[in-house]
Amino acid sequence: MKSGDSFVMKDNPNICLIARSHKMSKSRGNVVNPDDVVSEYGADSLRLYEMFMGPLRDSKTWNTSGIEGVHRFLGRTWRLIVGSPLSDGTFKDGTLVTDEDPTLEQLRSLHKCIAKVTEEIEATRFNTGISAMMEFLNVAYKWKKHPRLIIEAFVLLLSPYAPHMAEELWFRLGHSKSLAYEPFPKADPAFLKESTIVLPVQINGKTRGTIQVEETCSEENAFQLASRDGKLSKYLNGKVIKKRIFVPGKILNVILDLQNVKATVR
Amino acid sequence: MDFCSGAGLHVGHPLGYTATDILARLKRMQGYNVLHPMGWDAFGLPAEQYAIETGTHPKITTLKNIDRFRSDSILFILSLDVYKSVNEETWLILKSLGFSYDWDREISTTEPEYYRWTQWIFLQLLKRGLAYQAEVPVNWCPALGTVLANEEVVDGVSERGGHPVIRKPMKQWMLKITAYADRLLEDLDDLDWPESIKEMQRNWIGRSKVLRWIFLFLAVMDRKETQRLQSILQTMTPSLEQRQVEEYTDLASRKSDLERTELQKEKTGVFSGCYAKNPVSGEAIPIWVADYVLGSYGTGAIMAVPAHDTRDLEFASKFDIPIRWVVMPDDKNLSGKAYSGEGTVVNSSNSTVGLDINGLSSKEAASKVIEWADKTANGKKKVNYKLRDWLFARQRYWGEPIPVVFLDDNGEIVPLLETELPLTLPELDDFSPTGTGEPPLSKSVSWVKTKDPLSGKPARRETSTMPQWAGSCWYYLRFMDPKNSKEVVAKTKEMYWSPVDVYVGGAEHAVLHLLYSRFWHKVLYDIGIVSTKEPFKCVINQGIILGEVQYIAYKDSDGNFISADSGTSVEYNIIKN
Repeated sequence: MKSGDSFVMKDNPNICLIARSHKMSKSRGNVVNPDDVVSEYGADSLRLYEMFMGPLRDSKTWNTSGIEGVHRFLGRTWRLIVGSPLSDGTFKDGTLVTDEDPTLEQLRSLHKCIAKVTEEIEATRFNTGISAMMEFLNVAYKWKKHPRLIIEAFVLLLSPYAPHMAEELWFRLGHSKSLAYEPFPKADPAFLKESTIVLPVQINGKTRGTIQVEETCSEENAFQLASRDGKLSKYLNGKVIKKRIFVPGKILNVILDLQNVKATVR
Repeated sequence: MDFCSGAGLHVGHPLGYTATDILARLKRMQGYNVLHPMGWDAFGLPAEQYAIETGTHPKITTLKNIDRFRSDSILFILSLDVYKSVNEETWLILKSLGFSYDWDREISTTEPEYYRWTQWIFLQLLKRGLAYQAEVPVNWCPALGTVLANEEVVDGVSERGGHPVIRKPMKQWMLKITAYADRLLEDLDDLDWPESIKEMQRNWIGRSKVLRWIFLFLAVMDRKETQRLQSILQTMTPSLEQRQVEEYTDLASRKSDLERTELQKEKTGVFSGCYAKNPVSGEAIPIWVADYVLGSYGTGAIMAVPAHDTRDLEFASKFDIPIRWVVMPDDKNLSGKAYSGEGTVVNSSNSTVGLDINGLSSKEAASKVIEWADKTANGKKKVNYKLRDWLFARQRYWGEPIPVVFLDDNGEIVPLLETELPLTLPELDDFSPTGTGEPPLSKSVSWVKTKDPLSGKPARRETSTMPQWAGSCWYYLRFMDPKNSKEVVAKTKEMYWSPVDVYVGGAEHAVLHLLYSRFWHKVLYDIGIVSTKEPFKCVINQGIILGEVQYIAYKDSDGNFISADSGTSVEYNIIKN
């Protein structure tokens, strides 16, 4: 049991233990055999876990319960695409994917994941590539529909790490040839841009604050947001607007009718 | 490349293989031609010991085994690891893990079609004077009846069996790696390798500019080069000290170089009873015999400077030898520790010989002293290396036969003709070491007795074999062209694939395999076989996978559990959590 910085006995927390790990050797009896891991969790789980344990170059401690984490990830991936098992434990043929066009949000999640996985493998940071796929999966579970285009790309992303399951999914997606020579998905920079931008707002030519807007936001929307903004509202509320200058994605400048302002004060 | 040697595959082994496989799969899907092969490297001591212990012929225990990889703007990804395993088992596991190897390129360093070219490279080394025989001190293990590598000796006994090991001069094959010391050092700079490995190689090569002094033995009236120190000591040492010196050197000969130079070990030594004259100050310097100075470094005799070298200071403090400060740090702060940095020279002038370097910076002083020593013939400038030539013979059975014969009448060395290769390893029922130092192959009388291929004169074959590092020195080249029966590797294929783009392997061979293969590669570059100066562009060391965390609880003498930090002496038991 962990208590503060040290480990203690569960029955008596006053007794400190020493925790240490050793190189695997026959004489210590702490050798974990890959065969056993493969038969219990599958080859893909072993591959994934070896990579997920930490940076390739670091020394790491084996933890059999840790492999359950990546095993679960593979199971969730499978069920997302194939569906829940039937009552007899088998799965229906084919997949749950739909043939409609993906939404912008789905494309953004996918391309973020493509960019990250590619970059991380090329830099031999295999562990963070897995994290990116796990993030994607969490987001994908929130979607109601899973377009083929998105799911097929994700299966290809997964294939270098977990080739066995990826091949199986690839066939269920209706392909008849191995995915080993399919082109690896490429990240489209258009979908990598942050979806919102920070828009500066000027009052009579002086920058008084900023608002967070969708990149494609209209002039009216930007103005409404500025009017509700805590900092900007005091400049705008109850004022007569002479003119609005709006450059989409760049700036909003509001020119007030100063004459009328004075009149109001009087 | 898999080094197969025995039993016990564990989950640490697939780490590097999984990494290269992921990279290979990605690059293949990105449209590259990837070379990702697997091969088996099973010659050598670990495999042979396993075979002896289990009573199985090494040929059977090493039947199947190899790994490596590569890609259209060409990528060559190679993975090297050391695991011990029976090959069939290893092979099945590699298959079950789905590693995308090009099994058509599978090679094994123990197959005659492969080691034919290992022998061919040896002949090229011999032709260029880079292989030679010499009498050198080796780690001889009388109980095992063989020479052992430095790494196979731990605390003066053999790693396997715990038998005593002594240093003993023996006639051995050597490879002149020292001829490539400068290039091996300088070409490291451009490699994308872990800095720690590069630094280990730099230290191992250990190039330094030194001044070799000529000392005068005070008891001897003529000038002697320190090189002949040992023989002079023997004639000069008073009889009482002589016995001590002999006992001490006998003890020291049981230690490996590695142990002798370990920093944390307590220094040992004996006074020889002799003095030498400091050529500059004229003072008498006591001569000690100590094993922390290696006989192979420079002349084997050093001028100790306790004030400015940690190891010398430890030695001097232990034996009450006076310590004199000659370099003052700029902040004038002498902490009592050896000071090896730059500073101002003090306590260093002698009007008799006309040399005064007091007050100079240590850099200026050094060049002035060198100039003075050169002019007055008291010393010579030298470049020194720690790197030694590579001991290339083993008195063992399981290795590549060395392709030379010795003429019966005069012992002359005659290389085999290239057309006679491979010289295959004869079958031996009993391949265990003979115990006499005579290699096991000498038992195969009909194989040993032969004729000089050219003159037809009676001759004997070399019975030592190559060390386990030989075959792995160049296997990456063979993966490019594994079935070529005309040459090591076809030029066009070599040009297409070389160099290896990514090489994943453990750090344990930093100054062995990774240095030896650079050396062979440079020789092959010089004779036009390869087109790149370096074999491996990028080397990555994968980390170790340690066993599951163990929690250790302590009990007092009454059997009650107590805290680990309570400090009393206790028995312990291990609780697996």
